[in-house]
Amino acid sequence: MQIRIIQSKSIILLVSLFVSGCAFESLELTSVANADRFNVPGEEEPDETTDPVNPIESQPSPTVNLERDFGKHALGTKVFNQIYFGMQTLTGISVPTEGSSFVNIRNQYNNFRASLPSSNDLDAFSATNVLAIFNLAFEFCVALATDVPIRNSFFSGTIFAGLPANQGLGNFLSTPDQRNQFVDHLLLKFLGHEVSSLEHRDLMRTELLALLADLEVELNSNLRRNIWPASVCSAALGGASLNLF
Amino acid sequence: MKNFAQISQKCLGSSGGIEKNHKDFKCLVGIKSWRTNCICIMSMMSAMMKNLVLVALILMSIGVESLQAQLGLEASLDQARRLYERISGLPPTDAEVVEMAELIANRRTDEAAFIAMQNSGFFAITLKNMFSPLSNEEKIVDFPLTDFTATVAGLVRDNEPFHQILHADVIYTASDALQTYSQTFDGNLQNSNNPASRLRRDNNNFNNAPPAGSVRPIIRADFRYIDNAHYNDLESLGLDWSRPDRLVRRAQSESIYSSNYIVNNERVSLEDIAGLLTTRQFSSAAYSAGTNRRPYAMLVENFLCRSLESMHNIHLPDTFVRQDIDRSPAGDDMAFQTQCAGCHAQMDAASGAFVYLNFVNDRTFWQSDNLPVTNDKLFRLDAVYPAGHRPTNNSWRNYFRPPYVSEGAEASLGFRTINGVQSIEDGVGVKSLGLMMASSEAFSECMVERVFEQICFRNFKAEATPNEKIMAKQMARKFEAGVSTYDSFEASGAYNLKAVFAMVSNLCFGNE
Repeated sequence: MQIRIIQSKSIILLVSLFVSGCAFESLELTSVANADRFNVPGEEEPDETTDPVNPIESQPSPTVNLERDFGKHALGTKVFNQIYFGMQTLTGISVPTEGSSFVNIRNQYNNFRASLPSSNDLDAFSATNVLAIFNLAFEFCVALATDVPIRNSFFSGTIFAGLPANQGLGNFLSTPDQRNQFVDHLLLKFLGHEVSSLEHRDLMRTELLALLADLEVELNSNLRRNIWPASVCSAALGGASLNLF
Repeated sequence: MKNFAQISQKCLGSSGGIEKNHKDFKCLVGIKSWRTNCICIMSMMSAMMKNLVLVALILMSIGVESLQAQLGLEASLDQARRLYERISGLPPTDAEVVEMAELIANRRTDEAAFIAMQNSGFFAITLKNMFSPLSNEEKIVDFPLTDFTATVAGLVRDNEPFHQILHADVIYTASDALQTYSQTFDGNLQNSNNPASRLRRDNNNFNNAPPAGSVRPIIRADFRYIDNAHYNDLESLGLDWSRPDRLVRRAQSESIYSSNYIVNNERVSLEDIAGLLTTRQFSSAAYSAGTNRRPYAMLVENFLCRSLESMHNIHLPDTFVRQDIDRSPAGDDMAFQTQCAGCHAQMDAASGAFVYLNFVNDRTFWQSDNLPVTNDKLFRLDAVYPAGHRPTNNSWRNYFRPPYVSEGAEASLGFRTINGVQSIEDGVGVKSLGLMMASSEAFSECMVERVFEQICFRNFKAEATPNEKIMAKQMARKFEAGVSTYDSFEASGAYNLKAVFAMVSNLCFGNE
């Protein structure tokens, strides 16, 4: 069982990375080079290539536009507490600092807090950070799928609210309509109603629906009950769209 | 330009006939020849084309406007969401995003920033993350809430002049209602058995976890202020710990007592109470062990954004360089003059302010009679150069000023006297030193730099453009004077840090 979960998580992580990659692409972040950290395409990039043979001659010319980045903000990544409390806000799960409620989420945060980003600087963003964010998102999404009051609250207004306590979300994802509603609701809750990310949203929607289909084949019936929807949810919640800003 | 429908109407007539005398269509009368007929058709076609072009232009202009509006709206929404998250650290609601986007689209980004500053995350996440690295030697961001960061959050929340952080008798703690007992000072600390004392408590249980929803007092067992339990408990209440009913302002002089108080009724002198500089957290980082030079280095680095290396100046008088500094390291006299004195001349002269402060047994320790102690940390290695300076009191001198440092030079810190209250040449105690530092141009500019890096995600010194650096200086001057247009946000006062967040947001957002 554990191996299956690990396999599933690996697949989800890969898809999550793909979703992140899409987000990066749409944010024009194909490179984390300094100049590319800015979300607004600037003027023509100055040629700063260094000639290893004759470095003096290849210094930037005096015509370099010093005001190229005036008034712009660079992209960054959220740090540990922005991610943790942000996920609490988005999912509606309030994790207490002690007690038995949502202990898995709290332990995941406390134990792997050092692996979450500690700097907003995108240059410091590493694969370790990605993994830690994804794992934290997974714990939140498992709670969303398994905790009945939280599930009813989060999915309020959809067919997934008010499901019998002994039924998993995965039991109600068999038709395309149900899947569309599930993914659309995730995106609505995580990205909001705003129109700013329409392209983003469509891209994510396609990927998440594809992930649902892929995992249905990969997971056995037990895992399909709750882990399946939680995995898709965590791909969205741990993706770049929500954790880069 | 004629409208095609009008021309057609005139050409064909309202009754289907032809108007004989119409200049454009008289050719059709009697249909005299194919040529005139053709001309007439061409004339109609020409009119139609003109109208089509007109319609197309109108549609295009509407389309462009609509597209521009749509793109502008999308860009504003995107920026609104991003700005909100940078200021508050948390995702916004739809309503907040829309409200901010409208303001951003109308070039009022600074006003939009105030919406995000209403979120408790601004205090509990953003300000805490910004100032936690300044409170510890290792510059760790992931640091618990302490008296240092709570005081920063409280001052900003209450729109208090932010330069108080370096000189005011202020500390923010949990409110009495949250504490397991009141910490109001009753002036009777000596007799811990006095049943009337409001500070009396069960000494056996003061380390136990408090009941749910309450916090352990900052002072336990009379003058204990030896751990961070109070603030740990406060932070565990959730992101709303900065609410006015939870976090309140107090006089720091009532929260920190000297060890001598119990012995000879001596309290900490107010001249040595200086905002963050005498909080327990800063004390643990700056006054623990060492030679009490570290607080000066942390002060200039954290609050003036200057490293000691960048302030290295070998032209300052070395009058106050202490006894533990070798004047001839490794036998090289010149090394002292050209290297050591460059930092020690200013550092040793200014750090005279800190001589009564120490951090012992996990608490801030203030003792005015410890200077004669030979093995005190201030006099360790005093045999290295006995003719060097030996502190006798907590007076300090500032050498990093004109005429020793050129006014207007890059390294200049822009010290200023404030209404004649504090000299920029010398003073007594940490409070006066903090006041001088907080009144400098460098302090205001440093705060703008820190906010710039928080909002724009760019290193100010390395990545800000020349014009942005000029604008940052202008913002620093506005920060000092107050921004009257922010009156409706209660942020128009002098040294209001929220105003800096608003101004910097206006610089880095809303330009796309």
